[in-house]
Amino acid sequence: MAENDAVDEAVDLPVVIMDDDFEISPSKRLPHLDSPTARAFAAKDLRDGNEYIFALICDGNAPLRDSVLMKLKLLPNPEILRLLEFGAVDWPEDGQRHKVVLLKKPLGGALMPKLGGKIKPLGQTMMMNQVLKPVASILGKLAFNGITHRAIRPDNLYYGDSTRSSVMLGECVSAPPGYNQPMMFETIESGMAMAAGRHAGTPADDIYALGVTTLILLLGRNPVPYLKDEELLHAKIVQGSYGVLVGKNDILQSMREPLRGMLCDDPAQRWGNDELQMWLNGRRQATTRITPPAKAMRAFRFNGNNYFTTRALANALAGKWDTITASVNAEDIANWVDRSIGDDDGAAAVNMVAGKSLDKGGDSLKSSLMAARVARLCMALDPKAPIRYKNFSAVFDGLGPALAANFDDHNMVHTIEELLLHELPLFWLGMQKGTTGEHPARIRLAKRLIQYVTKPRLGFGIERCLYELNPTQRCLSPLISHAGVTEIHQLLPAMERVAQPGKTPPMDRHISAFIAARFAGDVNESFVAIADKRDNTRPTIGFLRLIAVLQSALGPPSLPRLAQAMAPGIKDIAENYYNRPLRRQVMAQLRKLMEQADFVEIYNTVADGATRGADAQGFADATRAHAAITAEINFLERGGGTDPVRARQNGRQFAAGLSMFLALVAVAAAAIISL
Amino acid sequence: MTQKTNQSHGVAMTSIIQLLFGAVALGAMIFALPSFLLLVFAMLPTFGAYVIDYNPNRSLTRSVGFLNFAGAWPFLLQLWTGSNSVIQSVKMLTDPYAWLLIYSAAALGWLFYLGFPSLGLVFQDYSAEQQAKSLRIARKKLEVEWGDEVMDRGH
Repeated sequence: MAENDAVDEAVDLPVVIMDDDFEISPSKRLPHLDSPTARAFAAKDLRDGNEYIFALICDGNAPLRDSVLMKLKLLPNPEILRLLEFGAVDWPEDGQRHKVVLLKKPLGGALMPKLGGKIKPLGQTMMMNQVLKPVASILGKLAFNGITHRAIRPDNLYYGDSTRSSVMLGECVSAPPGYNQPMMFETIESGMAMAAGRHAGTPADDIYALGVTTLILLLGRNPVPYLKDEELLHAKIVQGSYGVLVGKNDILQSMREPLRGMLCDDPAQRWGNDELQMWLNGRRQATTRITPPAKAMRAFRFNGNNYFTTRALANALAGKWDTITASVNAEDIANWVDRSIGDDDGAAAVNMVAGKSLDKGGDSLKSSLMAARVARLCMALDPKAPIRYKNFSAVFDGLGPALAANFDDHNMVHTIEELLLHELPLFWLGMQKGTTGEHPARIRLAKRLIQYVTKPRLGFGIERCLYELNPTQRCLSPLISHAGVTEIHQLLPAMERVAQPGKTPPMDRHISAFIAARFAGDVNESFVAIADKRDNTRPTIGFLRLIAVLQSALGPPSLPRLAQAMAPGIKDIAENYYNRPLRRQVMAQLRKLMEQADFVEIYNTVADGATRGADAQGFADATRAHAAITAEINFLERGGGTDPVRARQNGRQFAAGLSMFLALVAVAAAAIISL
Repeated sequence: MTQKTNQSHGVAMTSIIQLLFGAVALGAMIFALPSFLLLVFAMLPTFGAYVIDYNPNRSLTRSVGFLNFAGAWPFLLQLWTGSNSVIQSVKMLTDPYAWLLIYSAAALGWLFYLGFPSLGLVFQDYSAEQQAKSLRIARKKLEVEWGDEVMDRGH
C-alpha cells in the first residue's frame, strides 16, 4: 500500500484548524488508514510543517478511550502509532462537531488490509521476529503503564517501515475498548458483550487477541469464515477457542504451542507477556493444559437442545430471553447445577433467583420482570459473563460506552434504564468472585446509577448516568449538540451562543444532567426550582441561580445573549417584589446589570432569597395592618367611635364642673369685693 | 348578694345625708333664721333640680346648685355684714334685682346642663372623623408602598 496516497474528495472543503497547531484537510481522504468507526484524513502539524500525520474523524456516538488518551500521548514508541493530539473539531462536511484523533502515519501499510480477505501466510520466523517480538514488547510497556490495547487484529497492525522489517500496533483510542474487534478476537466472556459494552480488560485480553491475530497471519485468512458470531461464540463455549479456531488447520507444530497458550479460555492459565517473551527468546514452555469447564453428567434440556455446562445454558437462556416463559423453572436448573455439576455455590445462586415472584403487574411489567429474572439466572449460572438483559449485554465497566454508543436508540436506552431499575448491575457485582480493590467503588457507582434512574427530575435520569459514566461525553442536548461541549467550562459559552432574546433560555434534561455530573457545586436546588410549575417566577429564579453559580465558578464574566433571553423573566421577578420603592430601586439597578450581563450581580439584586423573604414578610405585615386599619375605619364610619349616652354624660359632668368653677370664682370675687 | 349589699349601703348613706341635712337645716332655722330664710327662697331652683334629677351623680343638681349659690352669695354677705335680721332678709327677698341675679345664675347652670351634652356629641363626632381621616391616610400610605395587592389580600 502506498503511503502518500491521499484520495481527493469530489467536494472541495475548507481545511480545519485544530487548537492552532494542526491543519486537517477534509478533501484529502486516506481510506487505507480508516478504522471501523473513524475516517482518516490528511493532516499537517503547523508547528513544524510535518505532513506525515493523519487525523481520524470519529463518527457515531461511541466515546473515545478517555482513560488511556493522555497516557498514550505521553508514551512515544516506535512499536505503536504515535498519538499526537485528540479533541473535537467542527467538521465542514456535515457541520457537526466530531471527535478527532491525530496520529503519525505508519511508514508501511497494514499487514492485512481487509479482515475478510486473504494475504500471503507469514512464515514462523517472520512471525516471531517481525510481529510477535515488537508487539510483545509494546504490550509489555503498555501493561507497565496500566494500558490495555484492546484493538489487536491484523488490519490494525502496520509495517513500521517501507522495507517491512518490523511491525507496529495501530491506534486503540478512537473507540471504546474492544469496540472495533470482531467477536473472533474477543475472549468468550468479552465476546458475549455487545461491542460497546466490553471492558478495558487486562493484558490477558490483548494476548488472546494477539493469539487470534497470529493464527490469521499464519494462515493468511480467517480460520472460520463460515461461522457467524453467535455460532462462533457457541462453538468457543462448547469446544474451547483453541479447538474452534486452530482446529485441524495446517499450523506448524512449533507454533501450536504459543497459540495454545494465548488462546487458552481460562485467563489464569492463558499465557502472559512473560511466557510469550520467554518463548520468543527460545525457552520452551510446558504445554498449556486446557482445562474444560465443569461438565454435567446429565444434560439440561432447553428449547430442544441439550446443555452440559452452565455457561452454555446461560448463553442459550440469554439468547432466548423473549421466548422464555415461567415454565423454565429456576429450581430445576438449581437442582441440575447441584446434582449433575456438583456446584453447590452455583446452585445456591440460582436458587436465590428462583425465589423472586413474578405474580404482579401487567403484561409489560411481567415481561420486564421475566427478562430481569432470566438476566439474574444467567448471572448465577455464569458470573463471569457480562450483564445480559433483553438484547443488551455489557460488563459493568462497559455500561458507559454502551450507553453512549446507543443513546440515539430509544429502545436500547429504555432497556438500560430497565436493567438499572431492576438493580441488575448490583446483582452482577454481587456474583463476582475474587474481586479487585475497585469493587467497592463499583458497588457505590452502581447504587448511584440506580438512584439516578429512579428519580426522573431534572439533573437525574438516564442522561445523568450517561454523563457520569462517560467523563468526556459531549453534551447531547439538541439545543447545543453542535457545539460539542465536553467540559463544563464550555457549557455557558455554548448556551450563550444559542440564546435568543425573548426566547426560553436553553435548558433540558441533557444540559441539567451534564451540569449535575460535571459541576462540583450543589445545583440540585436550582433544578428543583426550574422544574417547579406552581409559580411562574420559580423556574426563572432557579435558572438565574444556576447560571450565576456556574458563571461565578467558571466564567465568562459577561453573558449578554443569555441575559437578553432571560430579560422578560428577570423583569417579572423584579416586578414581583411587593414593596414598590424596592421594586423601583431594583428595576433601576437592573437596567445597568443587564448591560453588564453579570448573573451573580443580577441574582443578588433580583432574586436574593433574604431580600425576597424580607419583602414577603413586609407584605404580609402590611396586609394585616391594612386589614386592621380598614376594619377600624369601617367601625368608625358605622358610628362605632361615637357613644351618645356617654357623650351626654360627659357633657353633663362638664357642665357641673364648669358651674362649680364659675361659682368658686364668683364667690371668691364677691368675698374680696365685700372686704 | 354583693349587689344587694351595695344597694342597702347606698340607701343607708342617703338616709344619713338627708338626716344630717335636716339637722343642719333645723340648726340654721333656730340659730340663723335670716340666712336660712334667704337661702330657702334663693335656692328654690336647686331644690327643683334636685327633685327632677335622676342622674346618679346629680350633675343637674350640681350644675344648677353651684351657680344658684354663687348668685345668692353676695346677698348672704350683705346680710351678714348688715343687721342680719329677718326684716332685712325679707327686704332682700322682695327686691326684684336680687331675684333676677340669683335665678339668672341658676338658669345659667341649667343652660350649662342642657347645652353641654349636645356639644359633647358634636365633639365626639369630630374626634371620630379626625381618627378615621388619619387612618385613611395610613391606609393610603400602605397601598402606595405595597400596591393594590395589599388591599386584595387583606379583604
